[in-house]
Amino acid sequence: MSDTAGGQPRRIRAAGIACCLAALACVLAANARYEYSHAVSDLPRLTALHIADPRFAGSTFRFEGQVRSSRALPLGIVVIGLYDPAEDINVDVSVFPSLGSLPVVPSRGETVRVTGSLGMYRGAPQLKPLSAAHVEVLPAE
Amino acid sequence: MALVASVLGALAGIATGLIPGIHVNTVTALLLAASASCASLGIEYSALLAFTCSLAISHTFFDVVPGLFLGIPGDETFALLPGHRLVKQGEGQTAVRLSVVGSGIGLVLGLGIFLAAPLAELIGDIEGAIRPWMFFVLAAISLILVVTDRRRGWSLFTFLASGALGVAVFGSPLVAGGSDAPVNALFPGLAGLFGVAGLLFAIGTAAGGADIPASATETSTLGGTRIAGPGVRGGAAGLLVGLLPGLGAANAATLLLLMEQWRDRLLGRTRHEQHRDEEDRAYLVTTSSLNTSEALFAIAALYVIGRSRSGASIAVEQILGGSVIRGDLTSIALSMAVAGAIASAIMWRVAPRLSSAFRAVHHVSLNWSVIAFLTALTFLLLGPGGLAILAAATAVGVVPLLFGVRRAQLMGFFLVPAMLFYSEHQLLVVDWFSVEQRTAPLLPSITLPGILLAVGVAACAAFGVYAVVRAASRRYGNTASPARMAMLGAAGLLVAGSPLIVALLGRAYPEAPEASRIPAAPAVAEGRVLNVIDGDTFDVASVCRRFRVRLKGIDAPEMRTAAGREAREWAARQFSGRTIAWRPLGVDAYGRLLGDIHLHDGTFVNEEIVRRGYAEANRENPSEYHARLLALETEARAAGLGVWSPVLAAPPAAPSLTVPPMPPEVARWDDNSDGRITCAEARRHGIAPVRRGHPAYPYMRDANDDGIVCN
Repeated sequence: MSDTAGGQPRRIRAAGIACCLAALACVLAANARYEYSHAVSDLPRLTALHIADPRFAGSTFRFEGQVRSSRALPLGIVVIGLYDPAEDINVDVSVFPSLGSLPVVPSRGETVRVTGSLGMYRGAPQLKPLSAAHVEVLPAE
Repeated sequence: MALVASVLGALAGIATGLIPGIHVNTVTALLLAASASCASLGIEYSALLAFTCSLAISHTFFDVVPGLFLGIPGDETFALLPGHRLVKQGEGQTAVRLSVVGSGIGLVLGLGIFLAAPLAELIGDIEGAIRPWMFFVLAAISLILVVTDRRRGWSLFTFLASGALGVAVFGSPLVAGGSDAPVNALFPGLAGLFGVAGLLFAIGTAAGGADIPASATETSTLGGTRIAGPGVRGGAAGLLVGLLPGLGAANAATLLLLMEQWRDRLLGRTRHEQHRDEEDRAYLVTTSSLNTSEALFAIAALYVIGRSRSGASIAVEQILGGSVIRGDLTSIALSMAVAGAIASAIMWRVAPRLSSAFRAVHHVSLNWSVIAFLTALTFLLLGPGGLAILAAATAVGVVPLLFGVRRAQLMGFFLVPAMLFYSEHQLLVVDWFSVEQRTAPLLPSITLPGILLAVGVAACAAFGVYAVVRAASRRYGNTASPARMAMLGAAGLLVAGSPLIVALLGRAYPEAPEASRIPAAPAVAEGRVLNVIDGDTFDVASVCRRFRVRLKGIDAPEMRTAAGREAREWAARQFSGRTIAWRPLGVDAYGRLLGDIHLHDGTFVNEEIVRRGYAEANRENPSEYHARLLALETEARAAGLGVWSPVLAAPPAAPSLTVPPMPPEVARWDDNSDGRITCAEARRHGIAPVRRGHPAYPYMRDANDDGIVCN
């Protein structure tokens, strides 16, 4: 390789590669160091008012409801249908494989607490959990 | 209103397109976030839709201009190099007009396919057939792009590094809300990869428009240029990348060029230097057509395949409440056509003056000021975590520039996460490498005044930086000046250092949300009834969005029945276009909002429909005023109103009118003794599904009259 292959001196290119690798390593390290420090109870409980207010799109909510359906879709997506009788809200929780494995896969009839981002999919509200640990099966009363 | 919004959107798109380093996804993300608090301005969703679509299209007409005249590498740099060559030859005016023609062809072709329903359906079917093979399609395209690059090793490195950055950014807690927030981690990621990196490189290598010839020497000669063929090829390529995930205009432009080279090789053609000028012109038409049709098809994808494929299509999806219907296509197409007409006319007229305008701008100062704008905006909207992502993306973005490989390899940022997803082995990879996505909590904090303030402060910073750098350049000279070197060094330190600071100190994580910061959602919203879907479901325009609202507590006959159609027609006559106040109360199993609707004259619509006999009280999901609705239903039945009238009473319109008295063996299933058996009651007693012939069937509501209830 010549000293200016690619149009730039070798030391500049070496510095560029070092910067690139260091930056990637740092972002991955920063991701890994993050710990959830807030209390879930501080986050608002999802209501129909939030779903109908575009200011809350992408915001984080907690939702507690009974599992009405749980289905595995192609590509590793798990969709859990929840119903909160107190707020009369049906919501689908989409667990993408990018979250990693769920500690427990909820089954029909169980009560589940999800903390996640509010979004829409094909006109219906959906929650995307903050992490796999934010899908919790609550003990039966 | 929509026409005015289209015109304003076109003008806004022209402004954003002319700013180097500003991607249309950034603009639409800011627009969407700002629009969430626009209810007080009285803007309706249709105006916002027209503005967004118009902006997305006119932006693509003008975003080639900085690349042509400043030579700043953007995400479509590979395509723009021939255009910049034309500008250097004194054909800036021709280059701009060829770009206008190309974009115009892309727009016309795209609109033609967009509006031809059979074609749109055919494209949807093709995408559906490809979907199971998506991993292989994306992998093959990526492989072709990497192995045909001049320096395969560095090309592969760039692709994988940007892919690793994509995986890290999509799963990063550095920005609150991750990639789901209105202004999210993708903004600094894309701004760094395709904006700041190119601008820094242009500064460091003295690339720019210093060698643009005077406009007096320019000519505009489109005659003899092949236009139709390249334009159609670009439009078709735009269709491909607009519908497939992870691909961008840069990938398609590169693929097109490769295909032309392979074709020439097969036919034994040789490329002579004298043909280069002609090829540059044809290529500019192709890439401009591709750029515009990609923007169009990314929005069309919402209708054709039900998926969003760009920042603009995400904005459109949210404005329309997640569902694009055939009727929306006309509005979208009209606003795009208006944008195309305005952008073409303005660009055509200003083409002769662009060279002199860009010669008047001090390019190094402009580049620094855009970097300052992007950096300040990132910090103000996303905090230090956003800056860390911007720096990391910039560090990755300069690699292809340093090694002379195609910048299209940076699309690994999208392609690698997309391939991981479609490989069906993402879970394995994520668990194996411990790169699970973790999102920091987000509470609504971005408002219209907040965004305007952030943009204003960032613009002030940009102007300040322009003035300072311009003054320093006058003092020290343009090239290799100490001031410029010092600033480049500082930028390099920032790029390398800020992610490190983040990693070591952990200071960049978003703050934990406090309950006191959560804004209250209004209990009642103003709106307008757009469309009556059936007797109990309306489309409502409210708070700059469109919602489908199912009236709570009532149940109208299904549209399959004559009674259902009668109920819809009556409700449409009474309520279509009326201004309302509505209250969201829940979400049904189909994802529709349940709500109460009141007219401004005080009429309670839910009650009024039951009172007039066009719906009954909902037994399965009773409301808080269920008893009142039951009483109104009884009165309407007794008076033979609406669907209870003898004309509509013949089966299958209102089967409940012919219900015989309930025998004791059936009454044991009627828990609330209201004379009807609901699915909840049937399931509770273990008799669901109930078929025609079962003793309970006459007392149940068979909405689709298929002889089976609660199946």
